[in-house]
Amino acid sequence: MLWYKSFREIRVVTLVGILGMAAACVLIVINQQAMRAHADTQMTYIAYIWKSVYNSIGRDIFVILCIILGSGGLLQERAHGTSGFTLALPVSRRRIIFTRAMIGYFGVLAIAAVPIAVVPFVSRYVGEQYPIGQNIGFFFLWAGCGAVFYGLTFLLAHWIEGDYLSVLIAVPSLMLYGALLNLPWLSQLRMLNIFDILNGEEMPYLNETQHLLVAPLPWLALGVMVAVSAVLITFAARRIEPLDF
Amino acid sequence: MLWYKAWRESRMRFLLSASTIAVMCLVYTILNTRLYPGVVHDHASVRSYTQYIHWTIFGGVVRALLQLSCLLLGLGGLQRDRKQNTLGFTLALPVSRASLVASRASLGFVQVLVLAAIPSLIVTVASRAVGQELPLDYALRFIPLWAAGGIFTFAISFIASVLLSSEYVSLAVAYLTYIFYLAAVRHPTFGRFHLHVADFMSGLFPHYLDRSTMLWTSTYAINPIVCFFAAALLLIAVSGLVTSRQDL
Repeated sequence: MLWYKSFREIRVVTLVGILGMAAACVLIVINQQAMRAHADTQMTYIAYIWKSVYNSIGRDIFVILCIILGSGGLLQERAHGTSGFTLALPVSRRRIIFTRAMIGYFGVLAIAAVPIAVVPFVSRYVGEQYPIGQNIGFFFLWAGCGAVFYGLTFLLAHWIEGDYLSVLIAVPSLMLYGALLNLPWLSQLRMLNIFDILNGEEMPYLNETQHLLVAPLPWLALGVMVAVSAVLITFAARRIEPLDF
Repeated sequence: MLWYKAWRESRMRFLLSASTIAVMCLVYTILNTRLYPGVVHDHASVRSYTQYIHWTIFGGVVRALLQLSCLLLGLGGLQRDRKQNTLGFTLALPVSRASLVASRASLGFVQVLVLAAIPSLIVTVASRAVGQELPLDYALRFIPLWAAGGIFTFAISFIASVLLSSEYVSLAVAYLTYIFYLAAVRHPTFGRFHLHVADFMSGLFPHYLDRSTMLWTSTYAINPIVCFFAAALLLIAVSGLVTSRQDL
């Protein structure tokens, strides 16, 4: 029942996210001819898809939706005066938190999977081809990096009470992190740049001329990201457990 | 009193936005010697401190942060009150719904204006403190662009907050609307109309800035500023109309 409760809480945001991502992918593919014709430099269809879906609009939508999905939770329920009902359920707070975290992360995965279903299918409709294997590869990259964005916001949402405050802290934190990655000693550590891992930019597994994933994905880095997210969610649970509601 | 109510509801968001914008400006200015090589690596056209400040602050990350803050400041209102079971108290006040909308919108405009002014002042002072030169006149010219663009962004989420009851759905819809709007005006069909609010705020459309030097040209026109502000007012007016007829 807890799963169903969490699902009910995030289903509209997830659905809006899935529809938004699907609409973005469809519009990107359908307008490919006009956009490529007016681009500064000539580019192949595959490069266009990478630039538009995985390095621009699609990526921006995905990151913000991960952050929005991570918001909410028991502290926000307290502000709405409904936390009492949730806490009265005969389950531990830890279980409530972990269930909510899992369901939210499934939402992240669902949004990350949208290009797999949409891009190759619509590409065929416009007479182009985009390898589905590429979409699947990027899905794993988004799933790993999305876990961190999601976990960070989830922790903030269980640390600070107030509508949108977790979003308002998560986004600048990620921007600050992105800015500090320009520091010379940090820029050497390529696998610390989560934004480059997300789209493969300047990474050994992306061929920059063809814009195709060519080498094995950084499974270790992706695994570490999921583990980091799990740690953040555990911190969130530990923060909520002793709290006086 | 309505202003005070609106202020109490949005002050945390506003103060947090102001702080994060100020911190980001300080980071980019104070650490400029360390961050400069990385920015040049990403944007090969950056060759001077002014261009660096433009790519990072006035046309870069900080501009995006301001727009996100504007999107978040636009949320709230009667739908949120309904969700929190406090709608009865708000509607029991002896004022019209239009006044409630107007007070929230006008406070939002003032907040956006303050946020738009922060980078210009901080960057100029901080640049001097680290031995760099950025004319105050250069920075001040961004304030009207940021204010008009910010108010327009604010109005997008404002109307979403009126139409949708869930806070996070409103945020998701407002953000998606904003992204689709940006993508639509990038389409070649609309390219000649200079409707891209992010480029407008960065001074790139219409050609306020010389793209090669990122210095102001003599084409600083008032019309686009007025147009974005008018579009924002129109969205707020629609929100007011919807609110006054809404079955809450």
